[in-house]
Amino acid sequence: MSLDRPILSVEGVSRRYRLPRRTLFGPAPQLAAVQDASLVVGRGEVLGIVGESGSGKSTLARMVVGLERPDGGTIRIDGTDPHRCGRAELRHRRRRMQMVFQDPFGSLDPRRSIGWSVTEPLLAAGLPRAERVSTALDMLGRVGIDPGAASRYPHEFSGGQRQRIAIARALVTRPALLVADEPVASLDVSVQAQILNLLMDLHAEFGLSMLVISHDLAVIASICDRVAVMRAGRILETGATRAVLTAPAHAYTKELVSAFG
Amino acid sequence: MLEVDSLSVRFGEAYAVREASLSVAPGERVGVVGESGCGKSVLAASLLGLAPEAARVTGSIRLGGNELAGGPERRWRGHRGRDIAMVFQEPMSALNPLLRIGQILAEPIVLHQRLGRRAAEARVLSLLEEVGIPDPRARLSQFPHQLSGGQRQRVLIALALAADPSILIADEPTTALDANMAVRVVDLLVELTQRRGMGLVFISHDLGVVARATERVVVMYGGDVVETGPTHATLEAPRHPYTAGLIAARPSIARAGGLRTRLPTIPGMVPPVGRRAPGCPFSGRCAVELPRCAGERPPLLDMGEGARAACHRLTEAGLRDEPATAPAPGAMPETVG
Repeated sequence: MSLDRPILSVEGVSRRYRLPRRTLFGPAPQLAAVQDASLVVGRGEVLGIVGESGSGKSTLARMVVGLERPDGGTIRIDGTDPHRCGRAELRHRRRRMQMVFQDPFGSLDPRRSIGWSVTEPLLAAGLPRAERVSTALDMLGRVGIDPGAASRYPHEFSGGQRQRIAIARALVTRPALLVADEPVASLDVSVQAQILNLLMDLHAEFGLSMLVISHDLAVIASICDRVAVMRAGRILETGATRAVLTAPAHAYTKELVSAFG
Repeated sequence: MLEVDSLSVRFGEAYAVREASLSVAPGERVGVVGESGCGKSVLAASLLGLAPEAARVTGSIRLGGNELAGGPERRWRGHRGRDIAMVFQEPMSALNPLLRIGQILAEPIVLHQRLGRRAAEARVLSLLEEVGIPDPRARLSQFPHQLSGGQRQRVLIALALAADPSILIADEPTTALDANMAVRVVDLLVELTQRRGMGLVFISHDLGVVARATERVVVMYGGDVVETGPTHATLEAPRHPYTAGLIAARPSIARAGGLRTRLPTIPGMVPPVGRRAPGCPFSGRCAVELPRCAGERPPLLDMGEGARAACHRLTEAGLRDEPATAPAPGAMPETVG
């Protein structure tokens, strides 16, 4: 793992949302969802962002993968700012970063077979058909889904299986960076453990760098090398997981550690 | 006070809950844990006479000596809300968004206690105060969306307390809340049961929250009660392999110790209603399964000190006092699909 040529660097990034006007002619109040956030994910590193709902962690993740534009600051993936390059390059760059969402129901097309959903990202990569299919089936097998089930539809799978399929879809283009936003929050405890183990296996197998977002400090503690604690749009502290857990610098982190202890 | 005996909820031939028994004494806090599809929410709904219409409920639900199970809706209506009340999971959808907090809370008070306007308002204020809402008078004219998630959950608790029930059923009351807020809501429920001598049935999938909230725990799997006992003893030395697996699979800060660790897992998934083995519901996922487990249902054995567990291993000589062990990490295949 190296931090001098990081896969992701976020520098002083901010994002504000306009709130509904309170009075007819007054200015619309703004919500600072993310304020002056900076962080770095080294190659092959797993960084966790922990925070409660409304802390800005998902907004930050969405800016990293280019789903949302920051108001200020710079984001660099592999040295390039996805928000400052052209559409064609952005499309090309997107292959290098993928995202897994909390709700695997919402992230798979219910009218497409899971095989189609896992193959689709490879279309943009311009691979020949036979290679697309074999790559997709291989990836399904690696996440623990029987490739023979590729012609089935999302509703035929359990929540945990759907999350595996969503992970296969994200990883099929072999991204360098995987952003996982609450990847296990909607899963049962025993299935959560399966998915967390799977993420760790894929991290080891592909040398994948990961940015994992969760409200659950125990989840972050189990799979991350370093952790950033966010609250009210700001990153309060960042450090090696063990250091942050055993000697939290911030009172809020202490409260979190005791709530999850 | 609340005694549930051999309660079954069936949809056609399929059991959602199979012969569940539990009792709650005044002031006692009982947790019901299990993963989704284990029957805990159907059980909770049945305790209020709110099981789905398609369901057939058999067995006994006795509240203060009165038999409620199988009774007409009219009889339930005399008890629901008054003797036995429920706190729901989703505070946003459980509160009418078009009514002010004061109106929402006054309705059951006027209904159950036949108080006048002024007396009802005083009662609403004291309830809001009791559940720890700051500046209760200012809340009366606010709408649910103007409150935070934690405050909405407190309003829901106040609503359930309106008719001074003797049993409070809380179905996943902390699931929608952040961790810090969840801890505060749990502490509030504990305090309320102690102060009012009210029985609490606390339903949750979260073992950590159940450990904090309850004195006794009932572990459900596949519609069956597989283990029950004092909460701390049960979570520290579980006897049923499912309980052990569930505890081991939980990510923990202490165990991780700041290093990445593989978590022990339970292979497979919870079998859906109607596709369960006639024997032990955990057979097929169990790491220590015996040949007879799939076909022969294990009895809920008395393990002493208020603990019971349903596992064929426990009837084998010498295994009775030994806690179930969690399978070693990575010992089992995780492939599903």
